Amino acid sequence: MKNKVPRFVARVYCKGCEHSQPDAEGKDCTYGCIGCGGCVESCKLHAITIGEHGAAVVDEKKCVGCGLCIKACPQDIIHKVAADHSFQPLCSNRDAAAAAKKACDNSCIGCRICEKNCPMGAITIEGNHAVIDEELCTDCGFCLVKCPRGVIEDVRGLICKNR
Amino acid sequence: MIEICVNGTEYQVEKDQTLLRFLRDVCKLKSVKDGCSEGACGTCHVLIDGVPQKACGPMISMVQGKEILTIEGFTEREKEIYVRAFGEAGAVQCGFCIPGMVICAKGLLDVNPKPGREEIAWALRNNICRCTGYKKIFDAVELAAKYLREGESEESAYSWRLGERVPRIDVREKVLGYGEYVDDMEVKDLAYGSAVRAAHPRARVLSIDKSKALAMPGVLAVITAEDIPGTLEVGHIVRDWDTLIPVGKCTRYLGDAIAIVVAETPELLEKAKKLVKVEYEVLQPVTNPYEAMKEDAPKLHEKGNLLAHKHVSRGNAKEAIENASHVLKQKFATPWTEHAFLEPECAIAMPDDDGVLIYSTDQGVYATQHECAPMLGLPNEKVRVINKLVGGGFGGKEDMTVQHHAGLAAMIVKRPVKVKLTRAESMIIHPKRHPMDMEFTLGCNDKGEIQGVMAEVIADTGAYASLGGPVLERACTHAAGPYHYENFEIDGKAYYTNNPPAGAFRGFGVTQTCFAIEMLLTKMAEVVGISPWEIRYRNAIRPGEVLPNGQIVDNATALVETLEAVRDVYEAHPYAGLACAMKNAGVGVGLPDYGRCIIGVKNGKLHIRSGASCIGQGLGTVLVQMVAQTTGFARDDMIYDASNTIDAPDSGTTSGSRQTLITGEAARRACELLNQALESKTIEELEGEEFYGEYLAATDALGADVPNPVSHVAYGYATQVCILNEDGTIEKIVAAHDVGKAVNPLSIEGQIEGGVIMSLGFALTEQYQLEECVPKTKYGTIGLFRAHQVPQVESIIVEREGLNVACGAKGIGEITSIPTAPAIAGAYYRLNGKFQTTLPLTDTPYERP
Repeated sequence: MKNKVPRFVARVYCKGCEHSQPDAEGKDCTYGCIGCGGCVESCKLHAITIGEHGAAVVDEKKCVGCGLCIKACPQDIIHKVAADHSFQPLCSNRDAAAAAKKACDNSCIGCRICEKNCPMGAITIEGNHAVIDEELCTDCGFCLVKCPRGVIEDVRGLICKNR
Repeated sequence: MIEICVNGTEYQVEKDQTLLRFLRDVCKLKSVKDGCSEGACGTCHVLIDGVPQKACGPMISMVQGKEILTIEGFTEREKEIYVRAFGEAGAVQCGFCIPGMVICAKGLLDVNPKPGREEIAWALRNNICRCTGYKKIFDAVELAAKYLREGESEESAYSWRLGERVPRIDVREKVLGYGEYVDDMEVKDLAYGSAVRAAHPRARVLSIDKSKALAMPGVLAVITAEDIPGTLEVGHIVRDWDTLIPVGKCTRYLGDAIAIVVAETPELLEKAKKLVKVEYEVLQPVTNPYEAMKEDAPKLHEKGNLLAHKHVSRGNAKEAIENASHVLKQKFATPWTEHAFLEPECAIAMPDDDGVLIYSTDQGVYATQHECAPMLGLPNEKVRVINKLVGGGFGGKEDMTVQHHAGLAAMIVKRPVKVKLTRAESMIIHPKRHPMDMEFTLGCNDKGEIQGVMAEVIADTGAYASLGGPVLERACTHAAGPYHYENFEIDGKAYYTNNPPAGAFRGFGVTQTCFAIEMLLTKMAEVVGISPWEIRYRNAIRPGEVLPNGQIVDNATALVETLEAVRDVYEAHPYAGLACAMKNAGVGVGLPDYGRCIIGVKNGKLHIRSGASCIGQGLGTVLVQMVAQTTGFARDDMIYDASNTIDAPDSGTTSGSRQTLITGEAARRACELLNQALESKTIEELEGEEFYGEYLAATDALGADVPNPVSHVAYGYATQVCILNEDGTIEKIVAAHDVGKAVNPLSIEGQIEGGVIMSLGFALTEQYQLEECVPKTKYGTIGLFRAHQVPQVESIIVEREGLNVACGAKGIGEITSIPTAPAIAGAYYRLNGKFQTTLPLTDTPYERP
């Protein structure tokens, strides 16, 4: 059943990390944002910047969900979502747990803790990775509260585990 | 140290806890309701930096430095506007979801002062309401937006007479959240109790080791069956429900209580419960009625597994069907349904002289008294029960779930004890709607006139009787439908299993059999070559005619008018389906069914006192309107007191759509006595006097040896139409209801909209899955319709005079939910040609994966 959603925005499913480039520890995620800036250039509203951890960040207040950045992204990690769906696993890593953990500090390892704690049955693990069904999600935030890796974010910035 | 700002007050706290617990327990902000504590219901919404957020998930450390706003922190103007808007729109029923709705409304209106309907619905998408069907809440938000933008209009001067669209009398306390549900009470020296539940649906309890739990500091008692002073069992009609399962006996379902632990705090309680060790001999559960009816099936109760067998017969159905031109025979099945009321079960009990006082959220304080007293070893009058606000019931709060445990614990520890079910417990414990397997045979002549109906019904009544017998009976007596024919035979059986008990649920069995008979009629219309509307119109019961149960219907019978009211809309749409229904008002079938009400004169005001629960349907408002109508007194001169066993007379359980008619008539009779007294005295001279009204709704027993037995004092009738869009989504439901005299049309619309949306779930989305007697559904996965998913509901109120009691008003509570599912299924049959016989329907856009 498709809902009538007031507003869509683009969202980058990678938060980047201090180690987003290959480094001494060998952390190197091949799925995440590579900071190429393609999306930044594509956005006519100047709503996208490259954030402090090397990953693109969308200013959702400016974004109108036109989808140009989604086409421009070589990593395929920008998705169009309802702006009000506040809780999202901002990671695109599809490696199994150990490899995902090695690749990045902020990676989803598919541990299923969010899936178990979701009251709505809205979360499934697909490709070693948490996926939230927007139709079923009711924005309670239990997934964020329970996520042991800090992958799931409140994009509004209201609830933050490391405050 | 965690710093947090709530309603402008800065708090510095050491202990991290969820925002919900902090707001309720530390800040004592009781507008923030605890409906599930699992993120599914939305009753605990608060504003965090102006943005609505459920409070049960985040820990306060995660929102440090943020500003939290609850309704208590609104400006006075905002409070007045939301009270006005929600009252005038008729948006408040049980009220438990309302503060959360108001929070989300403010979150929207602060950034969007003039939202459209879709934007409002979207803003409320994370808040479940089980009463209203959301429509009137959208109306309320629209009205609040208007008042905020343009200022409030002059408040209407209500007369409070019958027929007026007055706001409910309890709107203010429910909108602002200061009205007390049991869980909101602040009680000195309160202890907390909770039961250790069965680990297996069927297992013999071999031993219970309480020693470790008892040794834990802060644990006050671990109560087991041998501590019960009176009888072991409780039960609404059949006393078959073990308060606690004793060692040596078998559990009957997962909700069975083994031991009640009482502790100083909820945290200690949870820890202590884990320390109670129970040894079981695990046995194979009886998972369905077909296993239960086998000769070698284990006997779940002493008398065997057949709880009830009902046989209803008039005329000669077999012969009539044999001689009919057209015969259709078909099997149907309907599923378990969970009530999903927003307020979980909660009771607080305390020692009271040499008895016990129980604060409850239930559908009948006297039922609670009568069930608890023998178990507690007390005479009835020493068990006093007071209803607090009831956050929805729908039949699911007619049984003992927490009241008896709280009473027992309070007597034993000699302190006030609160017993509250978690949402997960509530999902398992209280009785559900009976799943029924039905086979119907319908014979008609060439004109589509019904010649005879035969049916068999098998119901799964689960672990305990609850109201299983009467539900089966109502399913059988109403299976004939609201039609005029003579040959009818139905045989129904309800079997015990190890599933959760099945009991009362809005519609009381009729929801199930109505689906079957109405689907067959729709099919028969096609066979005969007339429209589904026409076949119903030809057979519809009319005043003075005889129902298949033999009852001659009265002049207030307006089924035909409900059909006529929807004819144009039905015929104008290619993908429309319709169904009719009837539903009794009152217990009927020869059982003593009393309404009682006292009007007391105190300080010049009329106190309306009746032991009849308002569970959100608006009984208090109905009684106030009845009294205003009959006495001419002004609203300000009346006080409606909550139902209780102390000074309010027993007016029966809120069940069977009975309170408006039966308690309404009792109130009217009390008013008549008051009026007589006022002929010779002034109200001042009547100070301290009481006027007692009693009404016995006299009926004949089922199968009574009289030519035309009166089964029920009144029936309500309805026709509902479902209109589909080309894509299979529902455009709207049009519901025409015969209500006799409409006491408060605003409230009636609310009942209709809520009942229809509830059954939209029954028809399309809801599930209550059981695997080997183990419930697998959580509150969030039932499939309750959400605000942004509901179609339009158009209510048509059909009034007709002829009922000579209660100023002509019939109950509306249940029938609103009855014809919805077959109307919807009929519409899909026209859209896709698939004749469906089970619920929820498949191949719809609403189908869940």
